[in-house]
Amino acid sequence: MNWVEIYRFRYFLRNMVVRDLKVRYKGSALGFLWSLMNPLLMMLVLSLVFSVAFKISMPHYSIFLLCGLLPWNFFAVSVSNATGSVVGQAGLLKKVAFPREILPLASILANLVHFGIGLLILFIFLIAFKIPLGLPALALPLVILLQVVFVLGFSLILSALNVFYRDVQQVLEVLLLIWFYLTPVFYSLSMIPGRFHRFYLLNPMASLVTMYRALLFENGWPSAKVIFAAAAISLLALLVGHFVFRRYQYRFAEEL
Amino acid sequence: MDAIVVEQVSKHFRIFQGREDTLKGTFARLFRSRVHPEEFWALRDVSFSVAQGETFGIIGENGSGKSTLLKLLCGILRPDQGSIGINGRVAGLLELGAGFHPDLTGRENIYLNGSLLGFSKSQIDRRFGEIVSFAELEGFIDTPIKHYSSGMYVRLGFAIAVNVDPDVLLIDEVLAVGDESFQHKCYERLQDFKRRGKTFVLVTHDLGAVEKFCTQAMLLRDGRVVTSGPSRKAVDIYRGHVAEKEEGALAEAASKVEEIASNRWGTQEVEIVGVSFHDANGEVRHRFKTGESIVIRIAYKAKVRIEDPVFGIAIHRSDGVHVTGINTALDGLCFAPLQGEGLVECQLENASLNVGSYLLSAATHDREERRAYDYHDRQYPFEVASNGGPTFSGLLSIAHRWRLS
Repeated sequence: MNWVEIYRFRYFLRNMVVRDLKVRYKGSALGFLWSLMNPLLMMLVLSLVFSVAFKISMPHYSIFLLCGLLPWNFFAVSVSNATGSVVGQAGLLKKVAFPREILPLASILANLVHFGIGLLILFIFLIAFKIPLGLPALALPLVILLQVVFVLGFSLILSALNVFYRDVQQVLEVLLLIWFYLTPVFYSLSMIPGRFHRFYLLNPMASLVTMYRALLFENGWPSAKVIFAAAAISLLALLVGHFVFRRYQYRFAEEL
Repeated sequence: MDAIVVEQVSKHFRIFQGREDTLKGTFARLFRSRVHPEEFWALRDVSFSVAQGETFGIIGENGSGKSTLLKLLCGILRPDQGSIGINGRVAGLLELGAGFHPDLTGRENIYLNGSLLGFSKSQIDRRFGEIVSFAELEGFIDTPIKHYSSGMYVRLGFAIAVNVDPDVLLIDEVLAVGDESFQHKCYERLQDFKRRGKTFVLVTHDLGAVEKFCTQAMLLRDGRVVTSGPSRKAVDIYRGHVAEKEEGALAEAASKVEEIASNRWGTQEVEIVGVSFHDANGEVRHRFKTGESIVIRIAYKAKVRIEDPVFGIAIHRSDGVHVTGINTALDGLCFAPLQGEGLVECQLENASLNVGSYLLSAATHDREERRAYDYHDRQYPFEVASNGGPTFSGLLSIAHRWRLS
């Protein structure tokens, strides 16, 4: 990624993010409230399903759920939007030279705003239900940064590939469905037999969700293993994304 | 110092026939015998440089690689071979209003478009007033641009591009739009650009603009550089190519006379069987220079004996303006009674027609013009090109002399 160029085009990036935020709820009566309602409704449904039907008895299960659901939604919606972002701006790509990375980046940042609002709600719940918050909660920005790194890397790969194979978008939707169940969102890693943990460490979303929960729900520190796994895979994703995107970005205008 | 240095640049595109843009297509291709995509070289070994402060024209027919070259210079495409070096900040105007959003107002679009060119909000703030006044859109700046006329749209796009003040401005065929006064303003702004030592590359079909603005020009043909040098020279060579091609096309049109029936009437007692253009030496030509003599030959066949035939010709400019009409009766000529085949020749001495396309009519009728034997209305095209002498406006150049006192 060409950070200097992206910095020069920061106002364009900002405009793209604002446009994304405006467009999403354009014409809907509740507008921006949906970015609050969406995770809350999902939380409501899932906590009903799991606490009533599956009889999970855990204190504050809904909040436990929300701690996993928010980062998951940020990931899933960002990646999905970012994947289509380059193809969606074909007209612009063919006529104007600007750093192409801005397109997936803008999708991610717009979703980061929604994620931030979701976290705000989460904090209200945490305080309302008197769940202790301590020093670990201050590390939250670092975990968010780590997740952005992972989401960006993954999005760069997919958005570039999607230019050449439109199937990527379709495959991704199915993949996300499976991935959701493989990520400890409605369950916790501790409910999984220990011998499977190493496989979970390969899933950065599992590590990230575990980290969010440790900091916010358990008022503790995530294990070094989890931190290391999340950091290593996120950085690797960004590195690969960087190279894939760099390599293919000059062919975007030809292919679209 | 050179603002742009292009060295041995080649660019090719792959053309897939019946291409499937999906994984399935790729899998299918994996198992099928290898299908090689057709390769199309849009540019081949193109080298040139543009000095700082120079105005450089790129000309050539459609498909000669001009637009591809401009996209490479902008950085939208990357060359497959060779290198491109540009000093300074580049702004490309490949399409007026690329990135405009119809639902946003003129004001919002200025900010959006400016940001797309890499400007910050404060940088655009500083230029905002100038852009609006240049585009003459003071009264409409808060109107969504979907309500703009195409002229307003173009003015806004151009105003943004020239006011962002790049070091190198690349423009593709966009000056042809807008009304004359705005065009004039654009050219003035570009002159100003030039004076301030900015570099400017113009891709266009408007050879007049290249001659007028560009000191240097390059002619492309099938992706290769035909010539690069003083713009007058490049334009002349290009005109030569066009002339060659047109000569062929005109000759072809002339050979199709029999097929044209819509603009032909008459009793056919005398039939015009062929009309041809020649120069003073009798060579067949369809393209003449201003002031050259044009010889028109009409071949006829009289099926019955005609007592008092009249032959005439008329010239119209391609836009319908009647240039001249003459016939043998008006010129006081009498023919002997006509029978069988023959040839009538009319020599237009020093035809000082202005540059343009013309259509010739040929006719034969009786002395009173009541009975047309055969009338071919505006069926024979010919061209007049510049003779390199002084230009003039209007239809004709009349021999003249000035005296100062």
